Amino acid sequence: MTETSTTTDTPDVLEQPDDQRGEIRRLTVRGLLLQGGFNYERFQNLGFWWMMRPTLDRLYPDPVDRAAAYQRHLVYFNTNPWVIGPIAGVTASMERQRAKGSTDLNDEAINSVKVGLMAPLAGIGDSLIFGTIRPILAAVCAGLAIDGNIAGPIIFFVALLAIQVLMRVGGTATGYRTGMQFFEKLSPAQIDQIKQGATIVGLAVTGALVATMLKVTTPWSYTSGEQTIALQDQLDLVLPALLPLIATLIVYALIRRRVSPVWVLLGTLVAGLVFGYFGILAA
Amino acid sequence: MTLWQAFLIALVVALAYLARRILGDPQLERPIILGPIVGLIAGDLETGLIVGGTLELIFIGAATFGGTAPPNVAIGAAVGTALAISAGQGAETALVAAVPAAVLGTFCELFAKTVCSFLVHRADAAAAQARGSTILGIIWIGNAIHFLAYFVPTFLVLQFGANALEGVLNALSEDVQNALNTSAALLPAVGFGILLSVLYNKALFPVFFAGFALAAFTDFTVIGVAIIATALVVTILRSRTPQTPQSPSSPQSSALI
Repeated sequence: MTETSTTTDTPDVLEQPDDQRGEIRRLTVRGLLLQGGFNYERFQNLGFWWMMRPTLDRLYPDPVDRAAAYQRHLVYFNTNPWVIGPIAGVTASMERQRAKGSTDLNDEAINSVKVGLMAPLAGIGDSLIFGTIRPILAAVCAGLAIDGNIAGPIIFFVALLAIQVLMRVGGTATGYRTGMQFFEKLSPAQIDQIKQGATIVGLAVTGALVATMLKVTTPWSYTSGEQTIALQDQLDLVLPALLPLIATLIVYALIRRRVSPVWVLLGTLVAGLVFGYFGILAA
Repeated sequence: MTLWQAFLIALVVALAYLARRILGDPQLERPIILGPIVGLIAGDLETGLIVGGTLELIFIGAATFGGTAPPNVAIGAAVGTALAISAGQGAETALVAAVPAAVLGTFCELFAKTVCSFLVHRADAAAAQARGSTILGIIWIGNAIHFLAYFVPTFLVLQFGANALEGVLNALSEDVQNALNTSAALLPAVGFGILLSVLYNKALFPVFFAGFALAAFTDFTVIGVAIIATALVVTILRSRTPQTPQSPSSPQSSALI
């Protein structure tokens, strides 16, 4: 229906609340496509275009404007896929303003808002989801799975799915309705607080994981007079789970020193085989 | 491992990975999910659950290796589970195959993402003429490359590698079995150590030892520690509203690439 209108007119297709709701719903669903065609040159750029395509097609019926819009959204883009909602919402709302004739929203302005959102939101997503929520769920559910309980993988999948759906639905709507203001409301201090909070919980949980899920012991014993004393019993008196703590801190120190995780992984595999074979460590 | 089983498992692995590309990021390629599914296909759900759970711990922080490509947990889980079931030597034995498979599998994703870089320029050309359908076709070629980069290696390893390893695993002595068990017990340290470095924050680091001590000296479970830590964090954040804007945290590229 916008075939005849040009971009300098006011396309009123998106002015009705119903149309806005439809637009938000479509952006939420299409946010799932973000990582399609992922590449090392511009990361999620193809996926971002894919997500935005129907919006751009509706706003820019004129081939010249449409080509410009396509090119505008094929630039480098990379964020945590769970937090794409607000970015999609804000971008669509900016494109709507631009299509209505707002001149200050040039390519650079739109791109700088996208870039300004993608980095801090990725920081939140990474620390909150992949540093905290997923490890907690993984630890609990892996415990169940190792005991042969099918509830482990089911809880893991359903809980993560529920969180992701909430983030995507809520995020897209908020971003679309607040538009540019979303960007201004996002204060660095607040982002820092969320990240710090997530880090605190993540660290405490990692500590608990080391103490409960890492079951390395030593079978060594020594004789003192008549008695044979197991080294592990002595260690347990000082600090239970001392060996797991040491093992984790060694890995941590290596990673911090920029040893490739792949080598650490293979090294630990070999170390376990060697120590296990000679009876220095045991499961 | 029959041809059909190998085919089905490779299909499941590649589809789970494709879901990360075009179905949001549902975490289907995590070992805890793939382990049981591969177990069902290979005819032993319980072993699948055990191998999946164990590998999940080993790779608990694996998606978040900064900008580098993480070990391929999906291929690792598939190969480990399939081998554990076909060799019948227990979950620990399978890890010795799962870990190297995950490491080698890293290249699958690198390959796909690199090849897709060449597509971007074709997309640019199509965009200049507003040819949306052409761009869409290019994206689907990219998705197909991603799919095949997982499907082909998984199928080949299962069909040819696993059958060869099976005989080796069956011939292992008891000493070697002990060594494998120890290795399996030690490997989650890698997952936890990496998670620790992902969460690294100098000021907050002591919290790690607090969580450790709480769980080591008492009967507190992981959930218990998580609840206490969350309650404390919420209390602290509520009592302290953000004042002046601090310097923005350093921009982080997404870990999940």
